[in-house]
Amino acid sequence: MSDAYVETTVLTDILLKPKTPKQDRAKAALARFENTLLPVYSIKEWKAGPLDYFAWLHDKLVVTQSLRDTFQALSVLARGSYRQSTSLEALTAAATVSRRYLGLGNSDADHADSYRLALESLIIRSWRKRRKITTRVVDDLSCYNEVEPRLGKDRLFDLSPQQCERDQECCLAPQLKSRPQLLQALRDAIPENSDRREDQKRRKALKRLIKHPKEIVNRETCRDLGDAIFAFFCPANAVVLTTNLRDHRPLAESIHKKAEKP
Amino acid sequence: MSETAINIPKVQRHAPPQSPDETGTPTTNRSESTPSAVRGIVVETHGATAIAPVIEIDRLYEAPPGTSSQIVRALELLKQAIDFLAEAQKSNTPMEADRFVQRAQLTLPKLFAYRSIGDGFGVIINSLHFAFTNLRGTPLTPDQLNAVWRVLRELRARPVLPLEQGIQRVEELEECGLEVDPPDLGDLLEDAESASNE
Repeated sequence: MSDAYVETTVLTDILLKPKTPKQDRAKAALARFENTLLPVYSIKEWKAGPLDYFAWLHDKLVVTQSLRDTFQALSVLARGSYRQSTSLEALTAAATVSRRYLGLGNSDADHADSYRLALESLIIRSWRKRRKITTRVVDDLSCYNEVEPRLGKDRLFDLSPQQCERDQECCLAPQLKSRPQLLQALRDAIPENSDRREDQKRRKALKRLIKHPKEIVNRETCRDLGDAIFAFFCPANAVVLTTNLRDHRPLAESIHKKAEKP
Repeated sequence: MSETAINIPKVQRHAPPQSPDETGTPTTNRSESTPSAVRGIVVETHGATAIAPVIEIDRLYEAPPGTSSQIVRALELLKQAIDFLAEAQKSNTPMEADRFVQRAQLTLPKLFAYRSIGDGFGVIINSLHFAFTNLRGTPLTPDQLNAVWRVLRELRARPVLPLEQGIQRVEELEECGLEVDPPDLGDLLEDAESASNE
């Protein structure tokens, strides 16, 4: 049986989506593999993405002391750059009229505090669990410090650092540069005419690595490589385990590897 | 099991102040501890710098009935909840046990009102609330009942708990299968993800 190389989306489902079908599926998927490998790159992306989002939500509750205002702020942000999702609308409505999913207490401020405490607990507990959900943690990043989330005196979360150290070449660079043919295959797997920003950045980062192997790979390039990192470093006897098959499958298959959904 | 208040003589205002033991001899055995001269309080020393006055929590926060002190009221409520859970542990039938657990559950909203005692306190009470919410009326298993009882007893012994230690207790609740997070947190993250993928 092949091993599972656990990508950020699966780590997120397990750690930050308690009591959801996605968490159940992710846990069941891990149980199917004898060896499950969590690259530190997943931890880095998880901290800078989903965990940071929860920290933002927590901080908004601290500042507004209102669950209603926090959901409102969330929906405005969603309207600004993205769509407003149905369940977010429902949650905003719930904060106003329904008590079904609300926390303890009688007032909006009480509910905000209940969610604040719940988020503090989840953020800290999920951080502690991150290295325990797989059989092994692999591909350590010597240029990235895994520092636990901290609550400041102002009660706001500090999740720094979220990136690798500045002024230091990415520790993955030598391995990446040693396989230019793989980098080219990965680049070819990304549609040239894609209008998605992450695709454009990934193609650009791969091109730079191929064309200018003597250039230093900085932390921005490392971040932009994103999904390509998983396909590249996934061991030959493993599959990339991800909920985002749309992006990962073409990359993995371009270098004769596999990506699977939980 | 009921929490029994220990009858310790009141400390007199003119009693001599406690002074730390400066013997420099580390001790780990209770029998080697050094009792203090303070009347009514046993002070155990464990080495030069460690001084451990053994004062029951009820003694420490003793106050007349009807007091407005938050911590005293919280201790009373915790005692009620612990006693209900102890009765549940002793119950002969699951239904009888669940009746007592429900009574303990009803103290949680009142206890939450005293969360300013400390974030450790708040996070435990809050997590218990969500644990019961997620059970959707399903009775606690014996293991879960014991864990909730133990955690509340520990909280009552040390109500002013730092967040870090409160979260450790929450992890104990999780270990016995209780789901301690709000059921809709996952939805919030889904929203952010689906929005960012647009």
